[in-house]
Amino acid sequence: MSCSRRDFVAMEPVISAKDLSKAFKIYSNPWHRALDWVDSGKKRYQEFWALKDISFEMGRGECLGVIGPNGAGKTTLLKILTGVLDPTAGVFQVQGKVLSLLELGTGFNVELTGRQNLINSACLLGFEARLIEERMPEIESFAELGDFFDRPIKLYSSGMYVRLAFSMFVFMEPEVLIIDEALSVGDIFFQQKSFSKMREMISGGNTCIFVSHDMAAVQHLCQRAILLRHGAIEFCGDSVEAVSRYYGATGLRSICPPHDQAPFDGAESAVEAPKPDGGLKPAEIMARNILGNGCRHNHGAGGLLLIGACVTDLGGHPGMNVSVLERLSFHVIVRATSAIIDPNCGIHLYDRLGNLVFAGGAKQSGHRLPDMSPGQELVVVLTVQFNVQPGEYTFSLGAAEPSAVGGPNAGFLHDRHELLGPIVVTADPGRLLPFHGIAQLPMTFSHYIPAE
Amino acid sequence: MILSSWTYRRFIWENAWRDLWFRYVGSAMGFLWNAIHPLFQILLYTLVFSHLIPARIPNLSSGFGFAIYLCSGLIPWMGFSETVTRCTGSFIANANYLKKVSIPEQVFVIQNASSCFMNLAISVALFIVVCIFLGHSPALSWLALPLVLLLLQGFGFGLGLFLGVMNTFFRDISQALTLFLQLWFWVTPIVYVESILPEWARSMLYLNPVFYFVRASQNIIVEGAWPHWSSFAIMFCIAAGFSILGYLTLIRLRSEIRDVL
Repeated sequence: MSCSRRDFVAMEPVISAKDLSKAFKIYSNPWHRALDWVDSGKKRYQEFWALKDISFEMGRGECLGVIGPNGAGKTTLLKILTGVLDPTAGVFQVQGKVLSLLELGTGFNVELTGRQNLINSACLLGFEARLIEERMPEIESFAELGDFFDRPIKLYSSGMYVRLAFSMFVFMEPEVLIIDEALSVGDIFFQQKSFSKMREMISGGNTCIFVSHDMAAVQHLCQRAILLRHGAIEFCGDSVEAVSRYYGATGLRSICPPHDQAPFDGAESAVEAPKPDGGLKPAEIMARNILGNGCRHNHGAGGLLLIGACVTDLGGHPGMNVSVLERLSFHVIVRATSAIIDPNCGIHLYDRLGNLVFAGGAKQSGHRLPDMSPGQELVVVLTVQFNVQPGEYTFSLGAAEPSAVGGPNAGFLHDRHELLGPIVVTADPGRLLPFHGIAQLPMTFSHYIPAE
Repeated sequence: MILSSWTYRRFIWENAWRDLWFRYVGSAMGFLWNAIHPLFQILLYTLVFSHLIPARIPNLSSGFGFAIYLCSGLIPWMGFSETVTRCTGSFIANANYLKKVSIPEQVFVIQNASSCFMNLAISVALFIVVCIFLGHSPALSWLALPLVLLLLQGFGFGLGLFLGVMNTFFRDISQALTLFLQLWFWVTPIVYVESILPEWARSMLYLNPVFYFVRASQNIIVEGAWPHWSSFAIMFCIAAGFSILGYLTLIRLRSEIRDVL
C-alpha cells in the first residue's frame, strides 16, 4: 500500500516528507563533542536513530493518524514537522502555517491571566498580537471559562488549561494542525466539543495530523494512519487496518478467559421482563434532580417542560454508573403548559466523540403517553439497557409532540436538555466482554454437523 | 538573526518587562523592589566609604568621592555580570520552550539582555539622583553614559550568547562562570584605583575588555570628562566582536542545541 493517497495528492501535497531520518548523537564523554567540532574525522559518538526513512504525503483536508508504541518516534516526527528539530537526513515541505497542540500551553506563564497568556503565546508562536486580539471574543466564548478567563492560570485545573490551549489553537486558523494526546485531558463535554470542532476544521480544508494512543479516536477521525515502530513506518494506509495491526503486533488482544466462565450477569437479565420501578414521587425526583446543576443548555418551544429528572439503577439507587448490559432508569417529570395531543418523551445518547449512539422515545418504543391538558404533570420512566462499549457517555432528555408536517418521523420539539451526564459504562476487565465494538446487535447462533 | 528576532519583538519586550514585574511577585511592594535593592546598595556604599572607612580619591575633594567612584564602576559591572550570567543560562532556563516551539534560539538571550539592561538603567538613574543629592552635579559629558552602557550590554550579550550555546553542551560552564566573574571583578579597577597598581599590572589592564567600559563610566561620572573617541571605537569593537562570535557559534551549533536540551 502506498503512502500517498491518489485522490488527495492529485492536487498539491500540503505536507510531503521524503526519507526523513533523525539520529541523536550519544557521547560517552561530553568533551568528545568539542573534539568533534574541531576534528570531525573520527567518529566519537554512538548514533541513536529515532526516525528512519520516513516518507509520506498529505493532501489538503486530509487527517492522518500517527500511532505506535511509546518510543516509536511519534514525537520526534512531530517536532521535525513543526521545525523544532532538524532532520539528520531527508527533506520535508509544509505548505502554510503549522500549529501543534504540543506547543500550546508550554508558553503559558502561570502568573498571567488566560487572556494575557493567549497574547503572549501568540507572540511566542510568531503570530501578530493583533490577530489574536481580534479573535479574542470568539476564543473566550469557545473556551467557556467564565470569570476564570481573566484570572491567573495558576488557579486553573488541568482541564481548564487544556480548554484555553485548545481554544486558542482552533482560532489561530493554522493550515496544518498537529494534535497529540493533550486533547484527552478535558472533561467529556469539552472533548465532544473539540472533536466536533476538529471535524469541522478538517472538512473546512485544514490538514491534520493526529497522534494518539486512543485507537477509537484515530479510526474515527483519520482516513489514513501511519504505524511507527522503532522509528520506521511499519504500515501506512487505511486507519482501521493500522489500528488492528498495532494491536496485532503489540499483544494487547483481549485475553480469552477459560470457557466455563459465565459471561456478564446482565446477559441473562436482559431476557427478563423489565420490573416496574416502584414509581418515584415527584418530590423524590426533584431531590435528585439532574437538570438543575448538570444541565448546560436547554431549548424548545416550551409547550412541554421538563421540570426535573433523576437517574437510578435497577435497585432504585441514584447514580449514573452502570455495567455493560445493565440498565438505568430515567425518571422525567413533564409538565404541559398548553394542551398536548400524543406527547412524546425520549433520550439521546452520545459517546465520547460526540457520535449519536442511540436515540428513542416512548413513541418509537410503541408506548403511547396520555394527552395532556395545561398544567398537568406526568412522570415518564425510560429504562435503557446499556448494550454499548465501556466508556463515558452524555445524554439529552427531551419532550415533543408529533409534527404537523414531515411524516411520522418528524416531531415538534418542546423542551430538550442537552449535555447531561456523564454516564459511565464499566466492564469488569477480568470477565469475558459480551461483545466488541460500539454496540451490541441482536445475534443468534445455531450449529449443526453436516450429514455426509 | 536580527530579522528573525524582529518577528518576536513583542514577545521579547513584554517578557523582559515581566521579568522585572514578576521577580518580586507576591511581595507587597512588588515592582518597587527593583528600585529599592540598588538604592539600598548605593546608599550603603556611600555611607560606609564616606563615614566609616573614609577613602580619598585624587581630584575629588568631596567626602563622598570614593563612594561615587566605587558606584560608577560597580553599577555597570553588576549590570554586565548579571547579563552574562543570565544569558549563559537562558537556553537551559527556557528548555521548555525550545523543546516544543520553533522559536529562534537567540530570542531568549535578547530577552534576558533587555531585562538586565532595564535593571541597569533603573540603577543608574537612581545613582544619578543620589549624586545630585550629594552635591556632585552632573556634567554635560554624562550624556555619553547611555552609549557606554549600551555598548557594555552589547558585549555582555555577545559573551552570554557564546557561553549560553556552550553551556547547553557543557553544563559546567555556568558554574565555572560564577567563580570566573568574581576573579574578573577583582582584576578590574572598581574597588581600587588604577594608580595603586604596579607598572606591569597596569599595562595588563588593557587586555581586560571590561576595563575600557568601567574606566569610561568612571571618567564620565567622577571627572565629568568625555571619553576619547578612540575609547568608543575600542568599546564598539569589543561589543561587535563578541556579538559576532556569539552569533557564529549559534549558527554553527544551532541544529544540535535542541537535541541535547
